[in-house]
Amino acid sequence: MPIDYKEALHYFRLAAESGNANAEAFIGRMYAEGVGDLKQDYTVAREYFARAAEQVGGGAMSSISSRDSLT
Amino acid sequence: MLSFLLQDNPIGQAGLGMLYLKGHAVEKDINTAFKYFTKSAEQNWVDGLLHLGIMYYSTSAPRLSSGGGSVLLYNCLAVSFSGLVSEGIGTRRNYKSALKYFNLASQSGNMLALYNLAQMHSSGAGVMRACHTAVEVSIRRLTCHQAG
Repeated sequence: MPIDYKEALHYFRLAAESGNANAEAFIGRMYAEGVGDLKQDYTVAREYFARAAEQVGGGAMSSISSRDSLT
Repeated sequence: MLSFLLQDNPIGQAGLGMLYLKGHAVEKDINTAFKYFTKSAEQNWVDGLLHLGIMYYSTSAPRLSSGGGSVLLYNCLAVSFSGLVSEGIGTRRNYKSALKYFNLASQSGNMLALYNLAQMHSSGAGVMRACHTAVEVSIRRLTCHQAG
């Protein structure tokens, strides 16, 4: 399967919107590396990393179902 | 399961570590980078393990100060391989810790961890110099590379 960053970003965003921290972190990586058509943007990357890395309590608990499906 | 849910995300922590290490979108801060990589590595995330290994190997691990502020020596070292570049700035080299984290990171087939592991075995850095082991690790790296 060829790499499709646009499609990947779309699905990561869907997952991130439901509170999935892994998806947020991966979006951060995509911005940090500037993959595909995505312009490298460390500030946006930092926001996503921070949101994922510091997601405790409400954020993490609200995404129990989505995280359960990962493990 | 519950403990996993209550932990912060290791991928995000490793990402923040990289930003602090390089000074991208934040003020460069080796101590904070080290802190994030440690947190990430505690949850066995490969990037956290690898970069902690690199920080110890490349003398960029912050001196673990007792009380007073830590003193950084700012030695630069860059490890570059296959387009992957990691650089560090810092202080106290610790081969034992570097070996430990490269070993852990290499278990998931990480190329840069395997490369550094082979380097350490071939040069005898922190281990008994063993060409046989270095060759074995290099073969593992090449196998992973071809498979990837």
